[in-house]
Amino acid sequence: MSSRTIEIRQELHQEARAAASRLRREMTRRGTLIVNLVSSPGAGKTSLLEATARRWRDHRRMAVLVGDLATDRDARRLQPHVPAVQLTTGGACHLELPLVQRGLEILGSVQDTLEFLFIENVGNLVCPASHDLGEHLRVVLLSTTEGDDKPGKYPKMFRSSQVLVISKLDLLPHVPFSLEAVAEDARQIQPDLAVLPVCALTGSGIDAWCDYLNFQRQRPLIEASACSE
Amino acid sequence: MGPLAGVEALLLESAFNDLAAGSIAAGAVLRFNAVRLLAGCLDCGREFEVERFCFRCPDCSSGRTTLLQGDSVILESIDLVDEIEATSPGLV
Repeated sequence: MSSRTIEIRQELHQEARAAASRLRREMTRRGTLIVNLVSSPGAGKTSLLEATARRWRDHRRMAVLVGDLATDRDARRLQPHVPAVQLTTGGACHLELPLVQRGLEILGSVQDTLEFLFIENVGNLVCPASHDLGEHLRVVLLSTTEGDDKPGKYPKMFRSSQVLVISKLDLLPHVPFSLEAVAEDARQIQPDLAVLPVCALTGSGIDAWCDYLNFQRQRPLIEASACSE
Repeated sequence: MGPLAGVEALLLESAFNDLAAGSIAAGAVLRFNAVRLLAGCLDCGREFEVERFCFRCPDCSSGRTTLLQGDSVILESIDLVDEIEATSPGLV
């Protein structure tokens, strides 16, 4: 009986991360900002996207890939406003890159001229944190009804996000939720986190959200042009 | 494997044992090497261990920090044991 040791020294997600980086670079080249929206179920991802699409009607070219375990309900909500493709995961609790790539194929030529591609992840504050979908920006939504103690309980999700959108702002007077407390808790984990309170129903905060996205879209393009010089 | 890898050793071990059963890897043992969560301050250069997921620099309180270690699972090595002689003495 003989034995030998094979040294591997590779990160398990190495290939998936490299593929995500390739997609990110390609979309940067096309001038498309990819935004990965993550939250628990019912936090208001689809409502935020509806409000965004209404605000940007005829001004910005956007499309949505939306992930769910079952049904095309979210895609049907969005389709009156923007091109939207439902990605059904068949029970899986998060999206992975191959599903995003299939969604892009279904979008077809629409994707060539997009300014914003939103990926609405499956509602889940845990597993989506571990999967790079090629996004430029990860946005975590937390609604006022979920409680202001959540960031510390889901550190990986908040550490890997660049933006915290506080949704359902209209309910703030009725629930024990402190904007200051949630921002402080989240910034322990991710000190650079941008915090944007919104209400998709009343439209409050949607202008600031859209301005933020426009600004972020310019950034990778500027960096990319600096790199190619 | 680090605290932000998103993987719990006990559960990974259980999944590994289920997959290995009945295969060439049956009976193989997973050995985990836990690593600490480390971050570096982009302002003062201090490297520090992140405790309770607080990423602020303990020296200068800067929020501009970068994660150095502890958010991934790295497969370091595989030990292979050739058991053909031991298990198949009749093989020519």
